[in-house]
Amino acid sequence: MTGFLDLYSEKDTFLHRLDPRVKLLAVALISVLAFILAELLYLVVLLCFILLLLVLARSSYGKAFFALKFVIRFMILITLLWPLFDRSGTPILFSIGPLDITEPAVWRGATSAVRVGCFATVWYILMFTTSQRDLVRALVKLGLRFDYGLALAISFRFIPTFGLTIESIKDAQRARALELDRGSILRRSRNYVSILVPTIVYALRTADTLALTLQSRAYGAFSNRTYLREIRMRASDYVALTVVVLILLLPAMAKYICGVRI
Amino acid sequence: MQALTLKDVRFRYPGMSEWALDIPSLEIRQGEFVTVLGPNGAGKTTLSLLANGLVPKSIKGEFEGSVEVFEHPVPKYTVSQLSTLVGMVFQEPESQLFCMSAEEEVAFGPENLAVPRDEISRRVEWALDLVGLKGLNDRSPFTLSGGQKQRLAIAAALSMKPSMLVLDEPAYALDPMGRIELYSILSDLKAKHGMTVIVMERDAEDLVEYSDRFVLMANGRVTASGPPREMLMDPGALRTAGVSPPQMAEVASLINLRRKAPPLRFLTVDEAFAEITINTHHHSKGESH
Amino acid sequence: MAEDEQRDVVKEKPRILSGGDSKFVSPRTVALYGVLTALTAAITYMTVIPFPPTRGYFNLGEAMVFFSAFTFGWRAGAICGGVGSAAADLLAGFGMFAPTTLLAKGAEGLVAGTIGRLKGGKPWAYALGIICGGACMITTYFLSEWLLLDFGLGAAIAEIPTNIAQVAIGGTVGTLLSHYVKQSMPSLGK
Repeated sequence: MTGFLDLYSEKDTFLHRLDPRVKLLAVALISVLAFILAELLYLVVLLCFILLLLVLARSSYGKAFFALKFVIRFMILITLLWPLFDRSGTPILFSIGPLDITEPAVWRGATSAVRVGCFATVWYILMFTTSQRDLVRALVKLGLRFDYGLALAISFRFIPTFGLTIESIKDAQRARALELDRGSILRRSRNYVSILVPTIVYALRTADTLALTLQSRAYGAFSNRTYLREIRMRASDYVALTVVVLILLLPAMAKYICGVRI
Repeated sequence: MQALTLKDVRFRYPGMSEWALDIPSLEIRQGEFVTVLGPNGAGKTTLSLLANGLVPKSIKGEFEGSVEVFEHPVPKYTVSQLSTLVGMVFQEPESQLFCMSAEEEVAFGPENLAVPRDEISRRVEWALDLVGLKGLNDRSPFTLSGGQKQRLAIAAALSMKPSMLVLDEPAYALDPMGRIELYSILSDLKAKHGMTVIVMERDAEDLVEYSDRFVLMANGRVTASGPPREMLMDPGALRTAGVSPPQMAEVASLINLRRKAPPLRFLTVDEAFAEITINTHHHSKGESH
Repeated sequence: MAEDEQRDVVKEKPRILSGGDSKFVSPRTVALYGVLTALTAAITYMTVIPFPPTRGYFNLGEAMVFFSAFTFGWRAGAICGGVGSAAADLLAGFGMFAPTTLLAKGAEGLVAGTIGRLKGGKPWAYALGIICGGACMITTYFLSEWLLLDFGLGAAIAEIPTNIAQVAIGGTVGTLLSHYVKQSMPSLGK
């Protein structure tokens, strides 16, 4: 795998403009909703709603395909594996040797596959529309301490750098006939050691300079430091927040208070 | 006023028997552009880290003597406090840029100093403009060229409004064009804003026209110091400091060895041509009389 | 604005910042944790060895969790291992695993770092650290996939063998890395 794929693409949609904290909350609440929904039909509706949002986020086809390929593979796997371990109920559809595949189990498998589809895709709404910078800002705003937030921001910044380092050392070692694409996993892993050692040494040297740089730029001079840019909730963010909360709250009330089967 | 004063300074890294730095006296005036020349291991990096107290506060070792920047004794203050006096730029562009946009990089210092928001945004625009990166606020440092990265590192130091910049081999990874751009920005900062500039370098030639003074270092000691041209015309002193002299200076010194007439002084081919024509002209005139 | 602003660079008398009060962790820690986290994520992402069952990929991210834990202690193991692996999940498009990963790899790093450095890091301590840390990781994934993410018992069980292989190989590679890196940077890990 070469290069680093950033799911985020810069666009100007309402989802891109939305406060990242609201998006984080939406991911959490929609996941909870998918967890409490029990009927296949409603889960399919939820999945369609999420996919609609992805369309509205104008995510690029390449990235959407990359992402959905993984989700679909997952859903198929769960549908297939579920009935093998769940043999309750009747009627029996067919039997493979001692295994009885029952109809309710197949439905339960499909239900759980769609649920997992919701869990997986809801994250894309966040990742397709939120830059890493805003993600860190949101976490700091939500109470992550500045110093840990800084470490997180630094790590996001250096992931592609170290990715490239690994890539170039890999190429250099390949030129010296090191096998990375063939042989058993054990052998390949051992060969990776000769790539990872120089990468780590380079990274730790980077950390040394970085520490000196941070100090030279007055890191930690005042604990009440100021921020040039800060995310702030606007009216539209509050509207979205309300919608997100209602999306969870209404079905939850219907299920647990009114006793509707959903 | 003196920008940097070292008196009887010695520093030794833990477990080493040799002094990494042993400087009885070094003074750099406010507004001076000084180039410190020396090979790897001459102590240039240690000297640069001394200026804002990173040595010995962060990089520990045996330290004696006194260091003052703008008449403030360095050991009395934290590195953060000194950041409004001394801006640092390191050799490796990749590891001193850690933010996700150029703007954040430049804003980081003043943010830490709790500078009010509109003042920060003014400083960001001002500093990016000074280093020729105006309008690149949102660019990721990762996508900048080597030269742009180093200039961004300078801007990130400038936004804390220091009175002195210390740069440790800033042109190390740059192509010739990038070097010239970098040095001319530094020279502008000196000329227009009275900035004190100290550059540590291995290679002298690009810096002749920008520097007020060359300081030669070897084995942690200052071996010579003086106006750049004079220093370059002394290949012997340069070689003591492990710096390879400009080729034309070598030629001049070889010619001068065999000449009884006043020594020729040139550093470039053009200068050599001018010097030699004038001199031989005089010479032949003299003979014809 | 420009004129005054520019005159101001060199203050008539250069003034030093007064006061200052820091309650943050040391810059060295911030830099080290940031870099280790980035390394964990980059290595997870870049050393994918395709391997069929469920999560569909086998990687050496585990090795970085053990490396951080053995070289820099349980705190680095927990934070950098957890956050770095979760970040890799997030960036690679496996967001739904990220919270579980944060917990599972964080626990793995914490346990491996605590046990592995017992008695100054004897080989048996490393081995025990890998086994206990790995057990925490595998259990966390299993429980989360079975009960929380609702993959069903089948898919959750199908992942266990991959995870065991990953711990075994990640643990070995991580120990080797810790050894070689300490050798080339003797000042480390004190």
